[in-house]
Amino acid sequence: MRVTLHKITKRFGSTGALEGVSLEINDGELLALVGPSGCGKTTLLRVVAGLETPDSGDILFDGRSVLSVPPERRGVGLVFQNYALFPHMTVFHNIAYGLKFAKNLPVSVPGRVRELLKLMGLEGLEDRMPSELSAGQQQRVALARALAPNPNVLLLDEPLSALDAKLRERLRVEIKKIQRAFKITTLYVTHDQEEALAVADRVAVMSVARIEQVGAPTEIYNAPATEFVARFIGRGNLLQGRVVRCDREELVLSVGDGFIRTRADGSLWVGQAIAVLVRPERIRFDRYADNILMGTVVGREFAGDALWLHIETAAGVLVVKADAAQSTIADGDAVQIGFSAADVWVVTDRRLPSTPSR
Amino acid sequence: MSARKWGGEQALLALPLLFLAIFFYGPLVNLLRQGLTRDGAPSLDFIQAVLTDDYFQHVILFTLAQALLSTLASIALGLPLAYLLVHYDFPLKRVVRSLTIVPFVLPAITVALGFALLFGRTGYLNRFLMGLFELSEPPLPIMYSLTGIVLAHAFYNAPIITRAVHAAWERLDPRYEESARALGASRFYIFKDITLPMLLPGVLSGAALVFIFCFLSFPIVLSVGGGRFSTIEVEIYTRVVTRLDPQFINYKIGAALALVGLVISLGMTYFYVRLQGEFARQVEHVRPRPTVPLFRGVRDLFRPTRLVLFLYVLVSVVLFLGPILAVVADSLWEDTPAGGRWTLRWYSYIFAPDYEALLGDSPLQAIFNSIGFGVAATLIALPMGMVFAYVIARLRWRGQRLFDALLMAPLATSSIVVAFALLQTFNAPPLRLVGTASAVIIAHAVIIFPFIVRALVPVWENLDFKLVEMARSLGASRLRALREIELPLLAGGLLAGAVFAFALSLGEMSATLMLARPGLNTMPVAVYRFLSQHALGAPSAMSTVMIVVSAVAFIVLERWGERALKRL
Repeated sequence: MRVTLHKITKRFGSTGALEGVSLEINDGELLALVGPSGCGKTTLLRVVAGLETPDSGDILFDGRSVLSVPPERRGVGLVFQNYALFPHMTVFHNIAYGLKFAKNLPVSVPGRVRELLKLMGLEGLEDRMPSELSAGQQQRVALARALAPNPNVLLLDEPLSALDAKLRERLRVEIKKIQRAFKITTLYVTHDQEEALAVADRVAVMSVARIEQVGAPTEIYNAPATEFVARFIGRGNLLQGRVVRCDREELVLSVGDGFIRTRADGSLWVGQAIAVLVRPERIRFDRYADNILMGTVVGREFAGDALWLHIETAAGVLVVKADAAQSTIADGDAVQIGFSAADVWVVTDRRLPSTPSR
Repeated sequence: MSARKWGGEQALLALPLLFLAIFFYGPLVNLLRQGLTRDGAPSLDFIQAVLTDDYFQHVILFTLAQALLSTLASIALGLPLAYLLVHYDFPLKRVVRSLTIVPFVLPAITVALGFALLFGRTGYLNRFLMGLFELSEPPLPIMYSLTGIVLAHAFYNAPIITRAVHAAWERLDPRYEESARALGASRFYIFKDITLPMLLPGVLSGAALVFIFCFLSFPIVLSVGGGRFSTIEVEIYTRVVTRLDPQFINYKIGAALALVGLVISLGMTYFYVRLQGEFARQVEHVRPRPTVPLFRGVRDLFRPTRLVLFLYVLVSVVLFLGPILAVVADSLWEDTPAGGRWTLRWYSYIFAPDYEALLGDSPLQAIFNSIGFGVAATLIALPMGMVFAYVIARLRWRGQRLFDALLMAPLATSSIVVAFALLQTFNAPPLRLVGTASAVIIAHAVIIFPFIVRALVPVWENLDFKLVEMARSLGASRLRALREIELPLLAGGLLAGAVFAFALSLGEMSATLMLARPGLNTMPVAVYRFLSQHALGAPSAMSTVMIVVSAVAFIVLERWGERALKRL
C-alpha cells in the first residue's frame, strides 16, 4: 500500500500544526518522521489514521482518497507511546480485539492470535493482564494487536519513547525485523534522530509544521538540505562563514579568523553568507589534509568507545570525535587537526518546496 | 516498617487520635455494647429482635430500598451531566462544573424546605398546574411520598455522581478509544468495550458514596417523608427522643439498630475505599479530549440526541434551581387576605431577639449558636484534619489500610448515631456534657472531620515535599519549614478547608437536633421545627441566610478549593 499525503494543512485555533505538508510513503517502506516535540509529527500520523481531519489537502492510499473513510474502516494499525493496551482485557483479548471486526478472516481468531503470539515471542502470556507485563512485553503486545487484523498501513507514534535506552535499542531492531516480515508500509514517528536513522528506509525531518528534507538515512546525515536538518541530525560542527573565493576548483570560506576549503559549488558567489557542516568523526589529527587548523583542547568527554574533544581554533570551537586510544590528550594541550575538502558540506538552506513536482 | 518511620511526626497524631478515642470510638463502642447486652450480660436478644421483627425488618428494608432507588435516580440524573461536561462546550460550563460541589455545602434541610415549597400540596408547582388545568386536587403528590424522598436525594447527590464520573472520564486517555477505533470498532463497540468498563470504577465509587449518604440520610427523610416513612436513622431518633422509656428498652433497640446500620454502611464504605484505590492506579498523563459546541444553531433543535440533551438541561435546571429559588422567593413573600405581597417581615422576625415557643428561645439565638458552633467545630476539626491528611499523604507504613479504615469509620457512622453515642456516654459525671454547647460542638467536630481529611489529603499531596527537604538541608528546622514553606503554599487549600468545615457544621441538623436543648438550637434545627409546624416564611428567611453562607463558601471553594474538593 502506497500512502500519499498531498498538501495537508491542519490548524488548531490559530496555530498551524501542519502547513501544506506533502509526503509519499512507498509500498512496504518504513518511513521515519523525525522532529522536535511540537513540530506536528504526531498530528500528521493522526491525520493518516483518520483521527484528525485535515483542513485542506488529501490523503491517498494506493492513489485512492481515504479522506472520507473513518478510522475504523481505514485499515491502519496504530501503536501509541503508552501502548494504550486495554487494561481490563487479557493479552489474548487485546490482540483479538481488532479481529472481532475483521471480515473474511482466513484463519480462526484464536489461530491468528496464536500466530502473532508466536511471532512476537509472547507465548504463554496470553492470559496475563497488561499490568502484569514488562514494558518490553507491553510494547510487543501493542504491536501484535495492531498487526493482527492485517492492516494496510502501520502507524507507530513514538513506540519506544517510554522505554529505557538499552531496551529501546533492542526493540527497534525487532520492530524493523517484524516490519520486514510483514512487508507493511509503515510510518514511524519519533523525536529521536538516532532511532530514526537506525530504523528507517527513508527519513523525513520535520521542523515547525513543515517537512525539511526527505531522504535515505545516509543522505540525511551526510547531505543535510537545510541548516535545521544539519543541526537536528547527529552531532556536528555547523560553521557560519562567508565565501571569499569561488572558482572551478575550490570554494574558500572565511570562518571566524580562519579559512576553510571545500569543493567547488557553482551556485555560490563571493561575499555570500553560508553555513558548512563538518562531522566530528571526519576530523583527524593529521597534518596532510585540505584544511589544517591549530587549536587548543578546551574540553573532553570520555564515552568509552570514543573520546569527544572540544578544540578551540581560529574557526571557532570544533567538536572532534577521537579514538579512545587518544585518551592521553589532556585539557590545554595544543593540537593540530585536519579534514578533507570533501568532508565539508555546504548547507545553503535549500529548503524543499512545499510541493514536490510529481 | 523501619524504626525511622515512627519518628516525631507520627507523635503529632496522638492528640487527634485521643480526641477521636474519647469522643467517637469510646462512645460508639459503649453504645453498641448497649445493643449487645441485656441486664448487664452479653445477649443477642435485641439484635435478634431487630432482625426478626416484621416492623424492624420493614424499616431496614425500606432504608436499603430508598437508598438504592435514590442512588439509581442520582446516577440517572448525574451521568448525563458528566457526559455533557466531557464532550460539549456551552456557556457557563466552568460555573456548572463548579456548582457540582454545592451539595456539600448546602444544608440538607434547606433542600427539604425547597422541595416542600416547590412540590408540596400547596406548593408552587401544584398551584401552577391546578391553575393551568383548572384542577380541584393537586396533581403531583410528591411531598410526603417515596418519590419525594428519592427526588430530593437525587437533587442532593446527583452532582456527586457527576463529579466522580467526570473525574474518571477526564482521566481516561482518549488513546484507548482511538486504538479501538483504529482496530475497527464502531462507536457502539468503543463505548461498550472500552469507555464503559474503564469508567465503571468511577461510576461505582460515586454510586457507593451516594448510597452511603442516602442510607444515612436523616433530614430529608424526616422532612420530605413527613413522618410517614421510617428509616433506621429516623427510627433511632424517634425512639431516643421519646422520653418515657423507664426500662431503656427504646435505647437498647436504638443501639441494636445502630449496630445493624453501621455494619451495612461500613460494608459499603469498604467497597468505596477499594474502588478509590482501583481508581488511583490509572495513569494521570492524558491527552485533552476534543469538545464540540452544544448548541450550533437552530437546526440542532431537530436532532434527536441534541433534543434529549436540551430537555435534560431544562429538567435539571428546574430540579436544581427550583427548590433554591422557591426558598428565596418564599422568604420575601407574605400571604394576605388580599392575595399577598413582597415583604421583609420574615427577616426582621428571625433577626429579632424575641422568644419563640417552638424553639424555646429566639431565632436570633439560633443564628448566633450556628456561627459559634461552626467556628468552634472548625477550630477543632481543621487542625485534626490537617494532621491526619499530612500523615496519609506523606507517610507510608504497614498499618496504612487499617488507619484509613479507622478514619473512614466516622464517615460511615450517621450523625444520629454519633449524637446517640455521645448522649449515652456523657450523661453523667465526670464528663456530663449532654445539654451543654460542648456536646454539640464535639458532635460537629467528629462529623465534619472525615470530610476535612479527605479534602486536605490532595492538598498535601500536591505540595512538592522536596521543597521542605530543600529548606531543611539549608538549615531550617522542621517547624520552621512548616511555617515558612508548607503553610504559605497550603494557605489557599487550608482556607478552603476551613470554609468547608464551617459550612458543613452550619448545615448539620441531625446530631444537633438530638443534642439540642432550649438555648442550643441552630439554624437548621430552627428551620426543621418551623417546618414541622407547617410555618412558612420564617424558615425560608433563615434558610435563605444559610443559602447565602453556602454561596460564599462555594465562591471560596471555587476560588481556592479546586484541588481540595477533587476527591470528595
